Amino acid sequence: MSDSSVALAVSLEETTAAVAASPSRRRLPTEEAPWVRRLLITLAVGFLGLFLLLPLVTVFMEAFRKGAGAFIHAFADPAAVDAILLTLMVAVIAVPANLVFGISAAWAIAKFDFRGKAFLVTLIDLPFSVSPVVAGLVYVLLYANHGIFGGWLQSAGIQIIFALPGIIMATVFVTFPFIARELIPLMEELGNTDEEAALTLGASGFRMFWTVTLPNVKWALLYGVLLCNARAMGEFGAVSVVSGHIRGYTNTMPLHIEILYNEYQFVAAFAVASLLAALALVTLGIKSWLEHRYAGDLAAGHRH
Amino acid sequence: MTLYAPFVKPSVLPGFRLTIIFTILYLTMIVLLPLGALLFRASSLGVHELVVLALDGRTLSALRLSFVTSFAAAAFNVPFGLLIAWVLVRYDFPGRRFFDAIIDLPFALPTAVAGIALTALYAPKGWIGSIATIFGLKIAYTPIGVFLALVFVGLPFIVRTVQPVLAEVDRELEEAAATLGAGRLRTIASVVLPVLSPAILTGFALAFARAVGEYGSVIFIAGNIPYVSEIAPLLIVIKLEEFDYAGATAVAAFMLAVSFATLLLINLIQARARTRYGHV
Amino acid sequence: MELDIRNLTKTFGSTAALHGVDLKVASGELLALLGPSGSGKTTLLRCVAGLEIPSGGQILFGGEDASFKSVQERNIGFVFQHYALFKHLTIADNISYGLRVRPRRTRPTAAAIRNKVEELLALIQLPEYGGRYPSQLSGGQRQRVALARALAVEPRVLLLDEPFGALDAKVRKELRVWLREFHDRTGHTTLFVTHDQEEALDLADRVIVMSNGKIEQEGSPEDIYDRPATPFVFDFIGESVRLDIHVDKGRPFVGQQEVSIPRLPPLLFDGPAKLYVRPEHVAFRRDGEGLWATVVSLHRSGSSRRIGFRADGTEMIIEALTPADREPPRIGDRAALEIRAAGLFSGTA
Repeated sequence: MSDSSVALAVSLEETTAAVAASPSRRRLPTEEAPWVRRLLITLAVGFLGLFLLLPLVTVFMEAFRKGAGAFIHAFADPAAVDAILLTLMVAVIAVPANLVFGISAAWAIAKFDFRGKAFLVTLIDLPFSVSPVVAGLVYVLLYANHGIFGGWLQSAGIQIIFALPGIIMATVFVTFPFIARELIPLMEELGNTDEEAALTLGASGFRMFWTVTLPNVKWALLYGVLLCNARAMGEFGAVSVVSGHIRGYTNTMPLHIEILYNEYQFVAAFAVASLLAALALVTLGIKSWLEHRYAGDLAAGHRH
Repeated sequence: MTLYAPFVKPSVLPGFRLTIIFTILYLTMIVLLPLGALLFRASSLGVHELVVLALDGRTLSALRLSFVTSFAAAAFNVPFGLLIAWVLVRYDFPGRRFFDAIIDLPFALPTAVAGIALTALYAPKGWIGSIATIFGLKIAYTPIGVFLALVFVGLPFIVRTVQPVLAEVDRELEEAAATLGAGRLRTIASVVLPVLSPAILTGFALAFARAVGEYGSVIFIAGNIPYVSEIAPLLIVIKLEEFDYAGATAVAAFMLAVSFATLLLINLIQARARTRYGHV
Repeated sequence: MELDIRNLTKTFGSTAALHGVDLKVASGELLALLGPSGSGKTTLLRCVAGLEIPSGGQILFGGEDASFKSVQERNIGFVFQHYALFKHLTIADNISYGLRVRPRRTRPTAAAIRNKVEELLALIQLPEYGGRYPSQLSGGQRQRVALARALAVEPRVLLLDEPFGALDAKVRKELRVWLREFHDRTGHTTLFVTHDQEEALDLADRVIVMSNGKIEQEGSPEDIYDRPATPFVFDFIGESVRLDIHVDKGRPFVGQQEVSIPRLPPLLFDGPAKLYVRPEHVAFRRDGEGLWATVVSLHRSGSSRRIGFRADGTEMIIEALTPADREPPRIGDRAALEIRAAGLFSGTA
């Protein structure tokens, strides 16, 4: 033991001497020169600072431009409170709806092999590539007074467009794929063996899902819910088309921001905006933390 | 079981019938039926009327602005997205995790918030706008503003599609190129970039498709001057407010067609990459 | 091109991967670097290639110091375990890559490149495969393409890192024979890394056994197998059992019995020692002189039979190998063992 530690000490001495002798300009063939590296990092960080960070900072700077008092005053407006409450209500309905769908779709797609699976996945991705304005428009075409079901709805006394149901439907459409998208790749990767083991041990189908499947995907599920929620609360285009901008009635937070901005109430607009920006930051923070902590549990390469 | 046996591979796991029926029902109600309504409205207009509506001068210039600025923004994001993905994957530096997390900001930040923030930044009195004014450059309320907003929106698509592929690139490929005498730049251009190219194309297509449909981030900074800085999605909103459902449908159908074509293109790129190079 | 490695060291962080390795490789030699994983053999190869920066020492190519040359300047051919073929290029474009990246003034003409590719494809026996992509080839074919790609640049030294490591056993053996013939025809100075002793002993002109960043022994395959120089080589190469014995007045004892071992140099020490015995060097008789022991196990494997003996008065087991068709002893039988060859090293574990 003591012999070998002496040998180690000697060899370390040798190598430090050798390192001192070798010129530092040598680098591995798969590495760039230090100045190139520094230049690239500076460029990338500069670009991110200019294009991503600066707009973010602007939100908070503008919100507090006239001090904390003006910031708080923005929330004394009953219209602002109504907008916040409506937004929460929309999220409370839209997110669980998409959660149930996401789990159901992920179970069918990831755990079973059936014909037309690839096509079904493509259909689920569809809302990602549809403009939010078009998403709003399609509901108007269906349910507005001049729409396909308009006459029928009118005679039944049901109001969908320019009312809460329309806002919720448009939000559900836009945030539709998020949870399924997080779950499908992960559940496919995990395979069926855990569930099969639970069944052989006599678990019922529901119990198996609750005790085996869910714990395996909980972090991906949490992230999907967070993302879905952030999008649901922040959706603008689709909701704008179906809402009719009725203050205190069909105004969500993003729509309220638009109205305030167009009325040149900049501080109030940015104050409400800063709430949504903070929500976005929290979502990103939790995502980053989850990825760091449970690197293997979240499928890499999210696409939104 | 026998009913759907030819459709689904038999499995001991329960719940297929329940979940697939629910999935398809929900999908139909939320997505397929509404999109079908749009196609129904568009087809009832007839090809002739669609073309007439789409070729209206104001519509045409809005579509042109949307497509040109979206293409330009996605193209602009390719080199910078690549650079950022490269730096995040290959180098370690203080704040790397922070910058990695912040890439998703345009995904998470509500578009209206981004829209007013970008406008405040690039307006003539804003931080950047005031600097640009010194050089006689007007950004907000011009197509340049639209372009910059779309750069903001599209950046994560390039970074997030390239990043995982770049992380998987086998270092041995670069070593092999070096042993064969290729310099560093040559190695990156001839060995790394070709491996990344399907991801770059996919990211470009995603960024482009998103930019064409983008509304909230753009309308504040665009200024919405007809024939100059009016984008196609805004035109749909305007036509709807005028109860011109036919006009709105025509523009929407056109944009939808482009979205689907882009989606198809992405699938083709990925299928081609798979068959050509084995599984990349 | 001969190769001279002088006092090469390499540390990763605080762990040393190479401790002052000295090695000379003659021109045209086929040399195997053999050792378990973590022995430093791959690090040594990568230092020679310039893929790793040594912490100290020198590497000379044909007498010229190459220590400070980049990998591109060294003009070596390197073959990776997992081929590292460029998936997006055809086989022909893979092979010609090293020629096409040359600066214009040293780059061969397009026609010359085409000819070179044809010639190499013929040499690796894949003449019709130029237009295909790597994903369309089998593992063995891919490794031959990787070799052709490395040879296209006419390297001064050919370096192979576990070239057969990713192939299945049958292809591995075929490719081994093929590589030996290939080397005899082309005569490149070649270093290859392997952890498979059979491969090294079968293929190489000379074998370098490495462990813990040092060379344990270098020599011909016969030397390495028949005359292991250290306990490590005895353990690592071939089969052997280790007996903890002691030496008294220059004579080795197993338990209380003295053993006679032919061709053993005089023992200049007394005290505990280790005796390494290969099963094929143990013979046994029912009577006569020898190390008396009892049969404790019988095990048939293929064409031979392995018999375990426990030396009298000890718990030590000695194994012997006999042809399977010979009448075996029975468990409990006693026999006199004759040890025809063995290695003896002073000290305990």
